[in-house]
Amino acid sequence: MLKAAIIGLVALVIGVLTWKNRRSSGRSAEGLWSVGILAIGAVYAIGYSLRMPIPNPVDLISFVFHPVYKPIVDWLGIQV
Amino acid sequence: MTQNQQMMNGSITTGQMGKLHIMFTLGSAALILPTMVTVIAKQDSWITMIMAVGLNFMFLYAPLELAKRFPGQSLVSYTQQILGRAAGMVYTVLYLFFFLVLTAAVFRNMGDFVGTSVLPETPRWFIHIAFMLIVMYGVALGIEVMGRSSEILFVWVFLVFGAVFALLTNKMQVSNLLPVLADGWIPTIKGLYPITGFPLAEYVYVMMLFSCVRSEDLGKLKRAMWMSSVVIGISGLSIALLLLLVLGADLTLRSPFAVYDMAKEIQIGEVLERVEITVAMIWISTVFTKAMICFYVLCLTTAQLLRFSTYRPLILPLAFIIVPLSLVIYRNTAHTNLFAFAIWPVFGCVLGLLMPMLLLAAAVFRKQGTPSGKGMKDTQQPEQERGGTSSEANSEQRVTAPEQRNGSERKESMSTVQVEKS
Amino acid sequence: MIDIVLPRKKAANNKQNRRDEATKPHMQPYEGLPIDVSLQQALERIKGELGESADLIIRELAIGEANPIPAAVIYIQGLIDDLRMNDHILAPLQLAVLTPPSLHADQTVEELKKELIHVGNIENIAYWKEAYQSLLIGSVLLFVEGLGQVIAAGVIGGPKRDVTEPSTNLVIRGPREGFTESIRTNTSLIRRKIRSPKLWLEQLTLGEITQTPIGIMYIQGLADESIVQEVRTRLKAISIDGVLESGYIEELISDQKYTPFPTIHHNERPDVIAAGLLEGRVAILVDGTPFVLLVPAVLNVFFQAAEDYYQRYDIASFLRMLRFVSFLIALTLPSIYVAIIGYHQEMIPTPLLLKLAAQREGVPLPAFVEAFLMEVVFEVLREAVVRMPSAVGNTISIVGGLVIGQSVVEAGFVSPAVVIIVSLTAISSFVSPAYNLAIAARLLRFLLLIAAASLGFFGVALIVLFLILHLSSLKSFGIPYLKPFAPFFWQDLKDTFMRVPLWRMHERPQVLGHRNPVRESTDPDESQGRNKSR
Repeated sequence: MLKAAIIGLVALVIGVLTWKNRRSSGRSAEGLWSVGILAIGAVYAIGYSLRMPIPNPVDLISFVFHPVYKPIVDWLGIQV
Repeated sequence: MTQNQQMMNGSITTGQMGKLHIMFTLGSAALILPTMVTVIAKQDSWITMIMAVGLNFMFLYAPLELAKRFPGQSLVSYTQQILGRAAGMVYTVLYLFFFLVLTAAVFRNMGDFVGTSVLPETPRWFIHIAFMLIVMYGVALGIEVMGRSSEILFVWVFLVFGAVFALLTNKMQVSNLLPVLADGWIPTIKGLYPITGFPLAEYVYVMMLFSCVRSEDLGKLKRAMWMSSVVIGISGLSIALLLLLVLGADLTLRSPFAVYDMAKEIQIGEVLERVEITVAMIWISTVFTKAMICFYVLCLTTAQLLRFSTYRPLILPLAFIIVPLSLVIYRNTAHTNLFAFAIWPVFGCVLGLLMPMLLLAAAVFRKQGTPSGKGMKDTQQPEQERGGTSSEANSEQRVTAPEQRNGSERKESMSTVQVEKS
Repeated sequence: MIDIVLPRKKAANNKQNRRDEATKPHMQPYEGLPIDVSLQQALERIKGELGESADLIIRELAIGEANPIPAAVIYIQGLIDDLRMNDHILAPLQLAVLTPPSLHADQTVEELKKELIHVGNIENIAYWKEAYQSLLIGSVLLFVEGLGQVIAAGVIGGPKRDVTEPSTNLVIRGPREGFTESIRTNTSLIRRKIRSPKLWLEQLTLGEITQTPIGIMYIQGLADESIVQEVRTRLKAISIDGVLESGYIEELISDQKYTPFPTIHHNERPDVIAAGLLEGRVAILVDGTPFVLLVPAVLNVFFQAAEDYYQRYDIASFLRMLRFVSFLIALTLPSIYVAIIGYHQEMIPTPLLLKLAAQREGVPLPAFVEAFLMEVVFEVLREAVVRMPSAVGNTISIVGGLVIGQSVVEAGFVSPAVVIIVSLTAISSFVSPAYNLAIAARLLRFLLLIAAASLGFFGVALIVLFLILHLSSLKSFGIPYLKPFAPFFWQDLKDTFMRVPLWRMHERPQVLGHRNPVRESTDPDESQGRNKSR
């Protein structure tokens, strides 16, 4: 819990600073995107620190290429 | 300076590009790949390594051709030019995903190695965050600094590598290589499979980095990349040979970090032993360069896709994604092997070989870009839909000597020198 | 009362700025004011402006016999050479028989200059501002009734330190002279080394109140024009009320503010500065200090000592490498020790490990705290000794080094290994020929120690990577700091880890990218040797 709170706090500080910085240089759109990405990251990090199941892109890749790599591995004749 | 290069904060020479490429390739591959290849090709893995040199050229062909057609432009801008805006964006988002996974995987490789071999008792997240902090610093400093630091690291890495090679000569046993081609050529060809994914398919990163190369140097780019491929080939071959000669195929395929275990064999009298930590340190520095390049490319792609004026505001947010992602990306060693060994090559070849080739074909077919590198100076480039580089900007950059650019930087720094009278 | 306000701190120092604005109008009321025509008025004004300072001497006199014109000679005691003034200014004026034909200003001035003032360096001044400036530099001012102008005769004199052997940058073989506090002496010392008309000197004054003369010296045709221009621009952008040492200038014109590494070289030896000029660098001389600045300065320069070029190349190369190694030792040795003891004990050969373990038995502190404390103690000792009179200094070093060092080990507070490590580090840090680079190592050592304590060798590697990145990002006057290592120049490596023989070094370093790359071989023997070697 403490870890999650610290991560959230750090993300909040970074978000506010980034937003202010981008706002002051007149690029609010950039600020919005950055803060958006930061929010995803923060959720991801908090999820990890609370040991919640979080989506893993590797599983997606494995799933998509499932029909291709299986035969290849069989042909190579290795145990993985 | 082109718009791209302004965004990236400077440009690099072809020599630096070549050295970055060597460091990138040797990055995580030098430590992990030999094990994978040896599992398949056994004592003939060195023959596989020779064959892989040819593949180097194949994977670099499309990016080089595209760089010649679209000088000073990156993946993001020329895909949109070739495929149209919407399709180009979708294409780029795929690569964004690729770079995200790649960066996380590189971090994980580093974490696995440091966590198991060097610092077994330190929590993984602490290792990853510490590493990330330095990577972020490098990325924030920009490509010029990364290029220069890679030159220093390059010398260091090859000196230590040479020293390790020399110190192990007394442990070599040529009988380890026998029998040559016991099972024919098939296993050696099979051994190429993991190499295609790791590191060859990862070469697509150059589609972003070629746009950072000084445009007056672009003519030499191809030569520099071929040269670095040869260096990579030779180092790959010598690593494979050294492993077989010193450890033998059996030990190599059992060790997850074979080069590190090989360095443990170094023993010259009672004086020089247990120097594997130096190997660990140079490996950390190559994997660091790789991580830095990957993260830089990730930030840059995102920034160009979202039409940012600079990639810097994205460094911290993306770091927030990379660190937890790298911690969860593989569940355990078996999962690492499955993914890096079996799945990554397929995924990588689609994005790293097939799609760039198709993109190049589309560019040729639709007659986009300047077909010959020589003509790029005078040929009017097709104007891009939005925010791309115009040929004027390009030619302007060509006449700007580096010294002059330094001058403008100096002026910039000058403004901070101003001192208020009290 | 010298305050430097950097623009970034502007907001914080608002109050100070307001105070400054209030005082500013009083500082230069004479800006743009022409010299008074009436002598009496002029004298009143000068007395008022200098507050009738005791060292301001006003000697009124009359020129000519038949129809004498009132005049006054004004100078500041101690700034001028009394003897020369008496003989060459006062005496001719007082003995003059001629009477200026008219009081037409230009004619009188010409006449006076031609006939009556026997000094080389003379100028006419029409405004008070310049008059005060030359008065305070050490000129004698001659005021003549009805002229509206002043004749300033430069007879600078007064106490000056002799040219002596410098106290830093000592050599066993090489010239013994060092710079002094006088900029004129310093420029002459350089001119005596480089007798070329192409050695150019530009002068300007910095410091609103101190009006310190600053010289920019370079060899025209060798120094990169853009670098010279950059030096000019940066110096002119400085606005500060006092420049008392070249350190002020160094800090104000550095490319990078936040770095422990020096990006400007300084030296007390004319031969070093001359060698720098010959390589195409630019020297900045500041009046009032023997330390002359040399720009641009890349990292490599700080490992070069003057003597490298006076000794044989073999020993010079050996010493060069020794310096690089000692710098690395000074930087990393304590952290390597901490990393090994804390994380990688398997690295040490068993007999040594047993010995170390036996030593550390009973030591109550962890290795990191031990090393950190001893480093701090050493820094304290060093700081205590530096500014002490040498008699006291010796006592302190004995008390500190011997008594504390020995008793702390005997009492079992720290292990002897740590004391050895700390002393080795200390000795290594004194090897560096450039004191300011050693300072960087001193500071970064602590950073490395902390990293080693928390992450072992991995931490050390990370900090080393951080330093490489940081060094790669530095620039000195637009020149990458790590040149010729990165960007890599094979040719220039001849003067880095090694000092190749002079007959091999017939090209100037490309680091500065200048126009005249080939050094000329003047000595026939040398060129013969070169030919032979090829």
